[in-house]
Amino acid sequence: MKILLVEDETGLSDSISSYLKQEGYLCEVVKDFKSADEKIELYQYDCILVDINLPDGNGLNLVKSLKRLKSQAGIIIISARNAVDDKIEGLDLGADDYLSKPFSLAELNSRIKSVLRRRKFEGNDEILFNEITIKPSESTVYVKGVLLTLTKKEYDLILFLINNKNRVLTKETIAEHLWGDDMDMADSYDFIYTHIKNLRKKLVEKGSEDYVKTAYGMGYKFSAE
Amino acid sequence: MKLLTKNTLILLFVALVVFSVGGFIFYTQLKNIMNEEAIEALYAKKHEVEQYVSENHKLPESVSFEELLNFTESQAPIKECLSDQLIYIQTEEEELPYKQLRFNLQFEGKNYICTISSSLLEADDLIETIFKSFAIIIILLIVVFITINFLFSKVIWKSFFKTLKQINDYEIEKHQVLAIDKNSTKEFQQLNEAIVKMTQKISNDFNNLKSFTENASHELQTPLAIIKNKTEVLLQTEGLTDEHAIQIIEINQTASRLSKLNQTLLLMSKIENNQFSIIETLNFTDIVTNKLKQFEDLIEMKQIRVISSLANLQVNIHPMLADMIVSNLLSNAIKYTAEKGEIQLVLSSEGFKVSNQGKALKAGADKLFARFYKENEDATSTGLGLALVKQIAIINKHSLNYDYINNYHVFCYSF
Repeated sequence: MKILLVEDETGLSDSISSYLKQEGYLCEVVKDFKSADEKIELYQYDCILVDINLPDGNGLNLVKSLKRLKSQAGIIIISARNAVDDKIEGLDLGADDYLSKPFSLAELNSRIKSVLRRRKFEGNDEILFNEITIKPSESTVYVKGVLLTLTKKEYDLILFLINNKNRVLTKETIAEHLWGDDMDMADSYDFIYTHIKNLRKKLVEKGSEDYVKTAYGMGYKFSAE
Repeated sequence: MKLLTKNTLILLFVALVVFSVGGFIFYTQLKNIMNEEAIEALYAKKHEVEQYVSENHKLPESVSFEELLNFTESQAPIKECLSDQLIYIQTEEEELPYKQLRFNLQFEGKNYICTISSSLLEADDLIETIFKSFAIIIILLIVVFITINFLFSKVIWKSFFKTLKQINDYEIEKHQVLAIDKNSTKEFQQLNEAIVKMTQKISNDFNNLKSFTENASHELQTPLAIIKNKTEVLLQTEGLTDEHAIQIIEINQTASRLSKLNQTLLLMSKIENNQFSIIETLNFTDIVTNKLKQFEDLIEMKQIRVISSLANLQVNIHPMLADMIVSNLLSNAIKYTAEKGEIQLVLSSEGFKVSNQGKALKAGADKLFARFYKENEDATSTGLGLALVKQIAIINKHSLNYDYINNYHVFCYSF
């Protein structure tokens, strides 16, 4: 999977590309509009991450170029401007998703995966993790072929955990993924615990191994180790 | 004090000074003239007496009324002299001022002292007359001045009051430049020009400040994003000790908190700057229902009973602001309700009322809506939620009130 990251902040692009490389993506980084425009003319990418504010142009114009080129790449806009108008304009132009800074890398990773799934498999794929199978098109989870009855939140949670498997996820990152920005309460961390506990119980009941590990007492990790 | 009153008082004072000085001068002048007149009259009389004596060869009869005429024999001739005398007049029962001329008259070989006296006007009477007439003049002057002012001030000051109203109605948030009509009065025209110039400057400064705040806020997000992402990468490092990991997570959380604070402040300044002026007719009931669903997990976890009575209500407001009102009031209520507590929601034509069980506030209710006010030292709270709702209420000319009734905190947002 080839990803193009268009971001002028080195500090940010370094972290993003290193995180994505660990996920097994091939990640190219460009710092300005001009080189990004050249790259998309010459090469095919599976997903493109575009910052709106570039030193020599507006990232939204890259989205326009990609659409003109009839590119099949998924497009995710990342921006420091948390403006509704920007978001609407970006999505209207044909971007698949919009993330405002600061975002967590796990969140970005999860969004990339879902965009890629939609683009590449038109949703008809399966995510496998040992005995667990997730069918995103149906929003269903199977353990050893048996359907697991999950609430919407529990489904979101297991998808997020498996998308970021083998990584330490803080409670905050999980809370933000599940409830968005609205939930800025300490309480929300506690009930992540409740949701995790319920999910674990349901998985184990159907004969799955307990993959959800507590990390450092302040986060979780979905891992087979 | 009204300008008219002030003007009149000044006029009165000046008039008093001018008229008293003028009155004094007038008095002395008048007195001098009268003195001279009296002297002239005495000499004319003297001439008359001398003529009478030379024509009739006898002394005229003495007169003891207005102009007293008197003859006394004397040994030697006297020198002619003028003098002021006070003479007791029986009819008036007082001494009156007289001018007296004494001169020598030779008749039939004898010397006579002829005394002619002429009554002078009393100084008291003179002063009184002058004072009276001057007082009448002052009163007339003031009456005329006030009447003219009263009749014309409405016309003259009309444009001034119009300008005043415009300044009163001026809303800085709308950062407009006042358009003030031209005025034929030079001073008012100057005032108007100064106001136009001032509002122009306010508008410019306001826009500069606004864009500065926004830019600063945006610029802050990128470094915060870097901190967050770096710590996230760091957290994936193999072989971290628990202690290190906890520190890293705390750095990450603090960066998030800072970012949230920054975003809320930016939002607040946007609200203040009226950047959410687009108004739509929204079904407020739907917004409340949706938010309740969003907070479902939290409510369930704290086992809070929610009693709601939601009438159908349409409200004209920016959709994002409506969302913020409900979201902040609800999350505030959930946060400060103890486990197994109760929250009451009432949506009626009066407004949106959120009541939750809880202990009375430590600080006064007036502090509740202040920015950065926190009831508890809670690290995850920005202390901006209620301030934000208050701000929305102010901008939209709605109201947000707080009351503590029977162990319930009651917030009422009225549209």
